[in-house]
Amino acid sequence: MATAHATRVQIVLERKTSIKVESQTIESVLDQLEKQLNIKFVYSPSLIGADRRVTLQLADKPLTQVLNELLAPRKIQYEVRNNSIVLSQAKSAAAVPVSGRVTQANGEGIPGVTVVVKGTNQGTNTDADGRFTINVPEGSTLVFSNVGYAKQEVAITGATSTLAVSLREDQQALTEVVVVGYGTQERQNVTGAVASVSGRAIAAQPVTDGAQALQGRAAGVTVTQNSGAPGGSGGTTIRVRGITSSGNNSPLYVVDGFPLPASANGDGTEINTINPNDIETIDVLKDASSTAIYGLRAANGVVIITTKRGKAGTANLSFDGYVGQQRVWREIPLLNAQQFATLNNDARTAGGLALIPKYANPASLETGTNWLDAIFRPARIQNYAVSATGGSEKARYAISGGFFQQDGTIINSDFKRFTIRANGDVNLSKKFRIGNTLALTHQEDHPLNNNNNEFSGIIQLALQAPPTAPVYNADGSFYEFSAADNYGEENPVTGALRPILKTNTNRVTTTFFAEVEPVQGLRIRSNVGADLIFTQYDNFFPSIVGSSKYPASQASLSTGSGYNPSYLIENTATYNKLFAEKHNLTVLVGQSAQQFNYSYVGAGRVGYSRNDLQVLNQGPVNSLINNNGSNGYSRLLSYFARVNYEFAGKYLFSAIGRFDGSSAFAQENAIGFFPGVSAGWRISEEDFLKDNTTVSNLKLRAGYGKVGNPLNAGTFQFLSTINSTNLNTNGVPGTAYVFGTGTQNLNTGAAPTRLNSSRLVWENNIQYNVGVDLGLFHDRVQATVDVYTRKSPNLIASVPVSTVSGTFENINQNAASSVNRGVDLAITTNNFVSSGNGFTWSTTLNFSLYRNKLESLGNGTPYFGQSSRGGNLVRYAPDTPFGSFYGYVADGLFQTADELARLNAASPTGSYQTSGTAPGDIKFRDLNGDGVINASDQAYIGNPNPSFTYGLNNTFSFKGIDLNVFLQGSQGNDVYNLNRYYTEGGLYGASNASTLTLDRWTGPNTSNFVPRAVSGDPNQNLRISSHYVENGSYMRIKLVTLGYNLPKDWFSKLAAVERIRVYVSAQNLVTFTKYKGFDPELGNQGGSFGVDRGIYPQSRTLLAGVNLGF
Amino acid sequence: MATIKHLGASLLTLGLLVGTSCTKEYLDVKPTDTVTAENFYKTQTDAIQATNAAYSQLQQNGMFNYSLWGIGDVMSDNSFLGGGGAADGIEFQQLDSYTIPTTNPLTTSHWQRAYLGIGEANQVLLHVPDITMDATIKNRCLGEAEFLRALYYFYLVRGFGDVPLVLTPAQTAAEAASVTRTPTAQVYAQIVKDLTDAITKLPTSYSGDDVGRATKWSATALLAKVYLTQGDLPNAATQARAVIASSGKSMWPNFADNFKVETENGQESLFEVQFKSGLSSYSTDGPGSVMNEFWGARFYGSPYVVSSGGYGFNIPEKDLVAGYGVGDTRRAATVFAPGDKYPDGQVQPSSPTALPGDPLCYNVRKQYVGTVSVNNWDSPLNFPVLRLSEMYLILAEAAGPTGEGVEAINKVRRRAYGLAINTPAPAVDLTAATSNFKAAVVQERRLELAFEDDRWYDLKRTGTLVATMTAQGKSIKDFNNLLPIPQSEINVNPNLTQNPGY
Repeated sequence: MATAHATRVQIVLERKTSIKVESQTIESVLDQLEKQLNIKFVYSPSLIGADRRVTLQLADKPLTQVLNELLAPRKIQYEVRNNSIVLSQAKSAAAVPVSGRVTQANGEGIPGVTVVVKGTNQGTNTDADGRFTINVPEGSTLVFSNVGYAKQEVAITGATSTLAVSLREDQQALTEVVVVGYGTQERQNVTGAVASVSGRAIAAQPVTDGAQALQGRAAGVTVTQNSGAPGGSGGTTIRVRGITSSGNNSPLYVVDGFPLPASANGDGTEINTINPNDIETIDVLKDASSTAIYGLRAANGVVIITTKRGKAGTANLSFDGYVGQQRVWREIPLLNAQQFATLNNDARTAGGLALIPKYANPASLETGTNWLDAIFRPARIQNYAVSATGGSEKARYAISGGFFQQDGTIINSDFKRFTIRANGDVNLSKKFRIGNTLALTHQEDHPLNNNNNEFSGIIQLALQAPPTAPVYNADGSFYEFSAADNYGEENPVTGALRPILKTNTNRVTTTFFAEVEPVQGLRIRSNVGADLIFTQYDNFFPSIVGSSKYPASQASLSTGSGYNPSYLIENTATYNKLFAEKHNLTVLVGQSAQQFNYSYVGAGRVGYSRNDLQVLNQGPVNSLINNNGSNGYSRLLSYFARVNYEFAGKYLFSAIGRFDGSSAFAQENAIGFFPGVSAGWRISEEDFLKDNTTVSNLKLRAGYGKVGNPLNAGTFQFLSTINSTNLNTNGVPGTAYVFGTGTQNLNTGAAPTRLNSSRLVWENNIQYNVGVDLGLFHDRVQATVDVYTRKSPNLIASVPVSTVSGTFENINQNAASSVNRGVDLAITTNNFVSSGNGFTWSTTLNFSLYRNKLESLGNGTPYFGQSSRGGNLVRYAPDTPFGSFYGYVADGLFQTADELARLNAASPTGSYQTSGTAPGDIKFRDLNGDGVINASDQAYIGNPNPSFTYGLNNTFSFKGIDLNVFLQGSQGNDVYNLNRYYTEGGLYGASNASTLTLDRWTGPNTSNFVPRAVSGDPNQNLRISSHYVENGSYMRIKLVTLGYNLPKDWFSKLAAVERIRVYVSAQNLVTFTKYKGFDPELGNQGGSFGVDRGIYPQSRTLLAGVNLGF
Repeated sequence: MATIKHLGASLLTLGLLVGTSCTKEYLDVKPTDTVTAENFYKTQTDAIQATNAAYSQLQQNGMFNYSLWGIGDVMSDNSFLGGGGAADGIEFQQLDSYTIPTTNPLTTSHWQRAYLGIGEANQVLLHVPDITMDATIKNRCLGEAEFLRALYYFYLVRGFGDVPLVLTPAQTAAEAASVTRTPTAQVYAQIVKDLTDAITKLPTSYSGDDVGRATKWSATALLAKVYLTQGDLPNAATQARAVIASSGKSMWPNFADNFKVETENGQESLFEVQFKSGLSSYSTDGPGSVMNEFWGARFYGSPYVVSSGGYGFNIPEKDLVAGYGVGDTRRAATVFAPGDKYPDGQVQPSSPTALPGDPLCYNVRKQYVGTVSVNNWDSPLNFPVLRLSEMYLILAEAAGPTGEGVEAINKVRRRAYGLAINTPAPAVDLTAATSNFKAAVVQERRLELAFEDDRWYDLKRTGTLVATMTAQGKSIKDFNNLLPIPQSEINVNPNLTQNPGY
């Protein structure tokens, strides 16, 4: 039978046929021949280069001649086998050896550049010095690509060993591959709003947390470090395109395809277990037309992190290490002992109180203790990372190990992180591929006790402790404040040094995938993964011998162990095909199921008789013993699809639909549909612009989508739960009660304290986006601008319930709405380009602005967000921006008694402010004009949302020297400076004050800002008011890095070493700001932002490092 | 290859199958560590816990731990706020000066927490009858819930006048937001009904771990006080007589023994709010009592006389202190006066500058326990709600200057002067001829029950509030006989009308 078929085909070869094609692919010509002659060609399109375009005109010729004319010039040979014609690469096309070096504009070799023969899978990648060797068919084209560089193609005409390729750095290269969720797209085809940051930009910064490296690098992505606590353990706030909810606005993080569970309390610690050196790219999906692929969780943007993977070719081994020192870049100047005593005496005299004997004679005091100096220290930071990548066409690997260590700038705080990552890919056959990612992280954190707590945080204590006391007594024991100091708080140094706090975190994130390509263009992929987070807390509070404040009866231990695993299974099918030359269609369908478990066991004992055995069992069994635990889980089940259609490379269209079902909501409300559509027009591909020498790229984009944010709806919040909490928790009364004899017992009580809210669902976000991508002068200037609107029609508002219901808690309802509009702008210019080793300079500017406001609260009432000492501070009400400060309006100081008397006389109560008000006190504005200052004279006194934020990055290079200068800033944001609230407290009480109070009011016109000193603050100058609101605008030189690539001949004897780069770097080098606190950059604290409540300040870091390539 | 291809295809198929057929099942997750209303109220333990919750409000902010001493004493002629001046304790200052905004936190919390307690009692009365459990315990739970509901309503109706009478728990927010105020008489009728029924259900006493729960005599005593307040003197006398005759309670020979940790729930006690130390700090919501520190002398002495120093609130008025006759042991048990010694040896000063806000250097002693632990606002001392001596005074007032009435008040007076209560003592006894006997009884109540959160209610029910407080120099008006309905409640339920004047 086989022979008969062969004969038939042989006969077919002689059949005559006609064909006329113009600039069509070989593949389509073959298709036409198959149809005309009812024959079958068998070939690998990539091997024979079937996408090459041909022009052919033959009339009534035998098929052999047609094939000869079509295939021979393209070095394709054919043979008849079985019942088909098999095409293969002509053996005559000799493979020739090609080697060379790929460099940056400055001549520095680029490691890891992918080098492939165009139209094939054949390739290699460059070594640490940018060198490569490959055998390629003569006449083919090599394609050089690497993230962050413009792709380049070089035609190979013969063997060479000196091929020099210089890649141009290009943050937003059109050919860059963008990760869009369940797939990738080339930048030129992207129709949504996606920002990308390369791993090089991330690794170049000595950051503790990859999220921090995004700061100022991606337009529309606002990044703030929550605190300077070591290891980024305070978290990093990422806000994609502003804020649309009064609750959690955190984006979804997806690492190597695994959507990570949200961090507790929205503290932004999702990715601080990842070694920044392992990151290949971070892509941020910003608008709903692109984020809709992640549906329910996508309203606040999606941050997609892709870690490094091996490439076929030479093995690369590299080492990066740096060591440096950090210091707090600014300390608030505090009064010395004499100044403090004088202030205290003034205050007590004005308040009619007797002087404190210890302070009565300031002249007898020395300068005393500077408590900030006592708690701050220069601190070491160090990081070492080793990585090996490589592999063959069949199997590739990337293995890395890292160690990061950071001492805190406050004593007794430090952090260590160990990471190991192993990513692999194996081609089992041409059609079947498997791979994995495995990341192991071990972290040891020694945090401060009551970190950032505004009552007992170390910073607060140090700002307020009287300088008249020493840190230590003469016998070396900690000084303890007593009645003689008229001050009873903890010694700040004791507060930092006494507690022994350990938080260990172990995290395993692993995924495995298998992908099959049963027919060309169709890829079916299964992805399973797990993210296992183990956390262990051990906090011991020892006793201090001879101390009345820390007796053994109070020595305590608390320990806790949490296990939060998440499991994922995903199956997708992607089909890509070019139809009729011009219609390129990609279809994705998929399913995803994820489960999130949590469990916690905690215990504590009080009354440790000794301090050396810091374990639970050594504590006494008494009434203060406690243990607690919880566990549960929730699930997400999703189906999604995406269609990308491109016509003639000019018209782009994308549509996404995702169904997400979540177990956190009532069954009838559990499933949501999240659509996203977008379109693009590459105007620069139109004939009228195609050959324009000025405009090299012009694309218009527009998109719409609807996505969700489940973070504020909580889990099972729709249910009416039984409250059996013993004590008041977060303002909700406990239900226990005491009965019995003797010391009596607390008896558990149980009652529903919240009505059910069965209609509760996630918050929706409806987004519109319009953007333009522009490239000028062969893309030497590139700009992207996006304008967007985000509407949230069903924000969750906490709706108060009549307590006549017998319940006390507000219920969450989807009652409120908000709108947020903004602009993102990114411009990259290659100011100087040099092909050799000469001077190059490129600049990237990112600019973001947004304006948000709460439009309506529905049946909810205005509610307070963050409160602070002094009262409620952040208030949410219609027509105000999110996070706005609310309080009294300070209007200078009363200068004279007459001025005050006039106001008192005009007041219906006879007292304009308070009965104790006197000249030198803050005059608050009578907003409603009723002659009395009371609660109805409060208003919005500050907006923490910036007018705009920006990042400006300049990269220079010259003959092996590279210099990077990165500026970053925020303009027009208000900060509520609670530090000043604390340090002005010394005007009224027993605590210390800042040197600002040296300029206090002491008589008419001596000051119109710093109030008089008077014990007890009879005027309530400390009430929440605009007096403490400051302009938080700043511009800072965030990063300066100067590097030098040692000339190779300097270390030619070190045969193994290919490349040595040394560098010095400074982070937070200079900050320009009018702000008077430690640092104007303030992230999310207690659900609000822009409130400086004594946060662990950021530091200035100076470091030196080395990069080695082997 | 074929195998591999099939593997891929079957993985996908599996995935899709898992998805489509089991969506509902996969997403049907119930909370595993929270009890919901659906799976509660099933067992005897559930019933007891539900009942405990109804008590819990007593020791919290809106009732005896905070609001009630502001209303019962600071708002009366017994005391003024004191404290640090300026805005210190501003919510109490507003009560003290009768400039009470509708947003006052104390009156607001009082309303809210009383209704929370009523809600918790309503849950018991709704669900417990359906629980299969020990019949005695079930009866007790229902009786306790009725007693507590009556107690909370008694405070609400006296404080606010007409209040919504809610007897079954609201199911939705809308339902709760549509109720209207019920006439006072109807509320009182329900209180009497609940107490009358509770008396039939509650045990006469408890032992061991149940001590502190409401007894039959707690309910009877409260009923006596309710009748007295309504002016139903015969019924008040009947109930007071029943308690005196049958409760088995007797007055402590030493008045001060009513206010000691070691004699809590003692022989004179009919109902106390239970407090326990060591579990809370800086909380007005119990289980520790805040009164030790809030009423403690302000920043006096070193070491402090109470944990971390007192705040010097609730300062006794001069005429209250002067009202105690020479030899009346109640004065020393009630008030710290200059020269009085604290257990650690410190002496109450006499210099007005030594105790800010306290020109006469008086402080309340009834809830004083000293430094109990390093916790603050964490006193273990129970707070008396109903004592046997008050039953004698109710009987005296209800019976009037009869033999029975005069003997009743004299028993209380004799005990106060350290005398045998049943032996006539002409030096301290009143007689039928005592002029204005009722006023004498009310004054005796003032001296006996000072700082037990009762005085403001006595002034109100005797119609002497406005005159008395005006004489004190307070700018009080007639409308101040009622507290303002909390603005936050009117905000969520426009059907609630505000009391006139506010």
